[in-house]
Amino acid sequence: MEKQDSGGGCGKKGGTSDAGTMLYRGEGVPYNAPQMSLLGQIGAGTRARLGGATRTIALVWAVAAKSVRPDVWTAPLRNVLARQVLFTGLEATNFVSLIALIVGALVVVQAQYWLVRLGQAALIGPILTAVVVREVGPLLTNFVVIARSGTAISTELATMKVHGEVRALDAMGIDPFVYLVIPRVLGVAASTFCLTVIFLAVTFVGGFLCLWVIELGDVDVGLFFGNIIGAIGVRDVFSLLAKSILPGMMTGAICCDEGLAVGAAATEVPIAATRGVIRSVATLFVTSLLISLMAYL
Amino acid sequence: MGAREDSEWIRAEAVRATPDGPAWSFAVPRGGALWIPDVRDGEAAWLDWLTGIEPPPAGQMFWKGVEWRERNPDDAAAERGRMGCVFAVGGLLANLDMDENVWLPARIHRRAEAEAGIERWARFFGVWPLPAERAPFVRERDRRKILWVRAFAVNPEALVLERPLRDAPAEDRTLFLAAVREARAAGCATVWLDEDLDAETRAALAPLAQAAPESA
Repeated sequence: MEKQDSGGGCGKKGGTSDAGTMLYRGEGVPYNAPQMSLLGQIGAGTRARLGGATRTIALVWAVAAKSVRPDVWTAPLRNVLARQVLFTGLEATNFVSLIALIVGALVVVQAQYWLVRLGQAALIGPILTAVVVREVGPLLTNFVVIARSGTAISTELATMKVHGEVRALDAMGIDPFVYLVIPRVLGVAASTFCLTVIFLAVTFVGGFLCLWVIELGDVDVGLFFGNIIGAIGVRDVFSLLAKSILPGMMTGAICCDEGLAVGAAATEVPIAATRGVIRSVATLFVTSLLISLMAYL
Repeated sequence: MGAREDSEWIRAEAVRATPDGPAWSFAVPRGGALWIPDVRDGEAAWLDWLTGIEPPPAGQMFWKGVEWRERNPDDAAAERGRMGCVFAVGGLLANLDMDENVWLPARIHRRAEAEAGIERWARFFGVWPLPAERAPFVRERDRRKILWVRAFAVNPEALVLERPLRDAPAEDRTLFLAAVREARAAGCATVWLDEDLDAETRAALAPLAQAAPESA
């Protein structure tokens, strides 16, 4: 539902039209549009993607700008935020921990194999830090968040839109952007950061346990964790914060945007979920790459 | 553009659902009642236009003398918070229980005084204590009553009622019409959206104006 000006402006675009009659090839190009040249298609696709990226950044900015106003944080809004953190963060802890344990073991097995052959076994800590803290940890955690919460947010908001709940909020003077989007975006971002920290902790513990088994208990705990902590620098902390919070916010914004962009047809709900996941994954990779370039080059 | 009369709370000027469709002009004074013969699944989205959440395709819709589009978003939201709406479809949030649904607008608009109103109207409509279940698990009849409680509990300055009595049993209709009378006596402007009104409803809403499109 289009608002006069909701601050963030979640509205209709691709997928289908209001009446659900116009089908789109994707990225806002209708099926009945005249055939374009290859160059035209590349240009149209690039423009559509740039437009989507701009829209996402604008949404994240609007969330950040509006959420600092204390009067926004009414009791129902805090309740929605708490529920989002519960679902995205707390309820995902076990799954994330399991994946982290396995990743820790896998990385340690490979690192141990190659480092021993090269006579550099002491580098296990820095290697773990470089692989897990800088790249794998934030990336995998964000994947879990997108798969669990991104789809849930898109589907929930799209269903609310189809069932007229968003219209009802609007009619009661409750800004859907404030009530639905802000707590979800912030909840996903905070949860992603916490899950990333948990992921890293469990990965290192899993890695240590794996190493302990391989070496038949002949591993110094202090040396192992001291190596890891010593290898973490300021840039790693910056990278970790940026790679967990920014993609988390963007996932929340993209999935809210896609969910609220549906029209009146129930068939648009799964389309919104799919588009939300695809856009979130693409944004995750691009954001991670940009942060890595900024932090380490 | 200001109001023609201070008492005109809702006013439509040449509102059209389609560019070449009939134009509707009407005004609802404080305490007045208006019936708009609203065709189900028609092109007109009267509730959206009356509450300013969407502008009509043509024409102007005023609330307390100010066109909705001239208000800033925060002001418009605050004004909508002073209106009570009953929706023909949906209206309750599925992921909130009934208590949270009724309290939602009062809490968002920070109206602590709504507590007394909520209990009073919930008792009046026979749904006190409010069901602790979420909307999908509450029977249709109670869901409708919860919508009524939420609409009346905010001491509305205007009521926009979209087929509020659809499939309602006789005793519920009587209660609802009594509630509307009481709200109007307190100065609430009422707009009733329905295809047709039976004699009992017309009598209960008297004096009742009927909106009609201007001839082309």
